[in-house]
Amino acid sequence: MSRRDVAPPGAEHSKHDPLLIARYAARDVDAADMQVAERIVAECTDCAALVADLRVIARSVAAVPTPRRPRDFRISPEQAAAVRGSFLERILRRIAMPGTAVLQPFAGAAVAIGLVLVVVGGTLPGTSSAPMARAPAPYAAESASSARPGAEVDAGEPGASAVAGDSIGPAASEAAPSPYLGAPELDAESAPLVTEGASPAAAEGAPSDTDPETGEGRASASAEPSDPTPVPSARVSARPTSDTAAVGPDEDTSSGGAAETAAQPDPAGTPLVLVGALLAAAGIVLLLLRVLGQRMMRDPGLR
Amino acid sequence: MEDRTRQGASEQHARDRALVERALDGDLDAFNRLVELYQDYLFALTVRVVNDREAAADAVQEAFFSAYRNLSRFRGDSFRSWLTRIALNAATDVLRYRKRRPADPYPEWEDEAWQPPADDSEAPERTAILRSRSRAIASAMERITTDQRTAILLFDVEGYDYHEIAEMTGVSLGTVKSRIHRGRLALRELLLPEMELLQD
Repeated sequence: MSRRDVAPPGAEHSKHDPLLIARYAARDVDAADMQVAERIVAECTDCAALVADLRVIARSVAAVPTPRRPRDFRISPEQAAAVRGSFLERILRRIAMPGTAVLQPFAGAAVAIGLVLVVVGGTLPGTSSAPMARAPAPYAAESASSARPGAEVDAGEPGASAVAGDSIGPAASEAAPSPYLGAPELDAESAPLVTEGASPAAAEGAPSDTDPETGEGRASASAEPSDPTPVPSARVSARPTSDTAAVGPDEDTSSGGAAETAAQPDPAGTPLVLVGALLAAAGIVLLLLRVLGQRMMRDPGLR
Repeated sequence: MEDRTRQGASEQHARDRALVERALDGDLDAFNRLVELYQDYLFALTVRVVNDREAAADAVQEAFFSAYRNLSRFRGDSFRSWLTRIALNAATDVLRYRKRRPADPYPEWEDEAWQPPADDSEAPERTAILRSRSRAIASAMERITTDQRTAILLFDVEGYDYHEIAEMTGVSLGTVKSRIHRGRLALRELLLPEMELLQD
């Protein structure tokens, strides 16, 4: 309550601020309040009595006898062992200690960095999740310059286009018409479209015009000629089909080589993914242990 | 005088820290020495907070267990203050969870164990007055809020200053002062009919 709330000296006792009087009795007022309180106490007998009573009460409370304790509270070795807890509990308690709170942001950062590494490692060109990005580069170049590149691209997976080109999207699908529509022959101009923007659909659609005799690029086109839905090229190239069986030895070698490449672990992305996964796992484990420790060791006495 | 008090406190802190160090090294006797030093004080404080001797004993025992379990977390200057804080938290939990309130606020007053040692030199009348006074104050203390009671006990009985109480109870300095002053005002209201008894 502020000083302004205090009624001027001489007013009725009920209008006086009892808290100010209590503070005055405890000598817990600043200089300005002291003057006001002194005036009030000097002019109001009830306030003066209140001050006297409060001081008597403070002394009397301190003089109340101390009760005797009913038992000895020393800890026996058995109790000490039980209180200390198991080895695991001690470890968790240590991890949960406030002094190790610094671990928490580190663990959080480890999780975040680990996840980023996993994502980056997984999406890097040529990583195992995009297996053909690196290996088929020559095929992509070939396909871009040849009149029938789709065959190579298809046989070598559209992953090639990921290296040679940029986006994986519908552009390639448009450039590579559906086999249902007569599959117009790809020319040299349309080929780069495939290589640049190839999608699984492109991989399927593009080779529909290729020469069945040469077998170039026929794998996917003839493997699922009636399937309009895009099929992941890795699956297509890895799956033997009747047309694939018809592919000549040379072409087979080229497409087979691509398939092998697809199955190989990526030398650049895999370590990143591994490190990231380990980092994230370590961070998560540390965070979990800390949370578990805090929960297990939450001590009501140490709030 | 103040220097001597400060020196005494400093020696007490050094002694306690040494015992804590030994206890941390696995010396249970060192910890039990700390228990011996503070169990009377802690029980006296706790029993006044919870108004129940058995509950207070449980709270004190739990406080010592908690202190032993978390000894490595002791960082402060005063082991006594740290222990007091733990005991107050345990007492608060006792009040919260047991909810065992005696119908008669102070049945222990009839129990000799509660009474101060009888002084042969005191006249029987004087002894009776002192008992009546203690009973009246204890009864009034039981009727104010736990927060006010705790603050008043720490300030008036144990002699802690406002800052120490604020640290121990985890509230602001203003809250501590408010609890003490309002608590005293509430006590005065309750004790008004018996104020004569309190006068020397």
